[in-house]
Amino acid sequence: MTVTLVPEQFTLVKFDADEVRGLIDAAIADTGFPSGVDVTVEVDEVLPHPLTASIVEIVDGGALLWFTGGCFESPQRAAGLSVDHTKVELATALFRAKDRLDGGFQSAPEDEALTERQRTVWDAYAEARVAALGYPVRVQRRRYVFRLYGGFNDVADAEFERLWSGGPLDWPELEATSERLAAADTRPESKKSIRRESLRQPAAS
Amino acid sequence: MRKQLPPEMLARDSRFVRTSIMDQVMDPRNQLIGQRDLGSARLQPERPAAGDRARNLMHGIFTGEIQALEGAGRTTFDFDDEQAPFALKLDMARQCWDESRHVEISVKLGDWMGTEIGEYSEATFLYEAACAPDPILRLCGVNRALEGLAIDVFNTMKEFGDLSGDPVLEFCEDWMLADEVTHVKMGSDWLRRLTADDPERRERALDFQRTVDKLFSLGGFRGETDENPIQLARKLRQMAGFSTDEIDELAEIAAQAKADAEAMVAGAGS
Repeated sequence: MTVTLVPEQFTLVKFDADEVRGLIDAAIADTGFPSGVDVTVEVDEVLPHPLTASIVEIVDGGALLWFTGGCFESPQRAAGLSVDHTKVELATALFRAKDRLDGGFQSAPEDEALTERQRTVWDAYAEARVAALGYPVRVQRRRYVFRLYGGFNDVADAEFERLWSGGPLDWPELEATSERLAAADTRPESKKSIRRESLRQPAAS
Repeated sequence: MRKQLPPEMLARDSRFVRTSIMDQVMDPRNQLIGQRDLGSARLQPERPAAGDRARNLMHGIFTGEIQALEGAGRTTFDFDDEQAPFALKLDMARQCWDESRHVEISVKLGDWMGTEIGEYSEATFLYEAACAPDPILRLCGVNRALEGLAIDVFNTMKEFGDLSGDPVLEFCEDWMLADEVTHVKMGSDWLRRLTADDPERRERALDFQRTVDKLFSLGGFRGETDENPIQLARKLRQMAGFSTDEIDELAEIAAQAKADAEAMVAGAGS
């Protein structure tokens, strides 16, 4: 397995690349990520906290994990690394990549084609497993984002609890969860957001 | 007890971490972000990272409320009755009561949104505006400029709660917003009363207010375009006693502040 960090050294933020590599290695081991799969972690260090976003892709059999620098940044110290946030973000993305590799998620759209509701369901399912590892997950933060895109209602809260405490799921089950959230969501259609915009820059040609 | 307490002496426990406005302005990423097409900067649920952006702003409101409490509290104590009439201090004491409730509400909203106390760094420039030696300057800097900003911020957060269907956020922000309108009006009323026979003092106070308004519009934080996360709340400002001319002037100050910040970043990068 090859693990690649892009960029090799950070120049705009005060992240120690070797420390980040160590956190990637630890997250790979802790999540039980398949040993034969190459992992590339790409960090867009221009985008600060609170611009947090991540994308998981399987490219030529390898996992490409893209993050804004804000995902790893400490909200208390501008441009400084938050070890806790980095650990959780890495492990969550690795679980999602593992889902795509392990089977059961073949019919899942690419990350940038997921609706916000689908994405928030999958993030909750992944982060629940990160919490089970004993990583410093902020459950109420995840619950708030879940409500933001799933709805501020009892159905959404019950679905969140089920995802947070439940066992293994596949994409059809996550999609069904998303549909139940949509059915229970009484907000006007215009307020049910559809994922359309990305913070990720198009690759330079 | 000491009068005129400097910002570095504000009481905070180990959860809080200070930051300076210059650290934010001089961040080398600013210039590069400006070159990206990231779409609208308005705080809306459908924008990327809306959850974390809202949590960040909510924590900023929380620390702002603490400092507003400290500022109003200092004004009740820092001046004798000749410098500041007893009735003015009574108004400030009442405002302290409001600000205390706002702090408590903000803590609860932080819990609701998954934010811990001290999770984000704290800049103390709000309190710094409350350190002026003349009580009228404080009322202009704090009640008219900063509480005016609070109207804009709370209205933005209230709209975010409405758009996202979050009844807790929407109602809490609406209740706090109502208080802010009275705080601004209080500042306007005392400005008129205490400077009725002293136009020079009034002009100094209004100059100070413009300075504070510009500082808090820094980098395009507030304005009336899609590039501004916080939108100028014209209608509510009119309810608080601002004239249309004053709101127009504030919009110009905000645009100028954005241009100044861009020039500073460009200068730092060259």
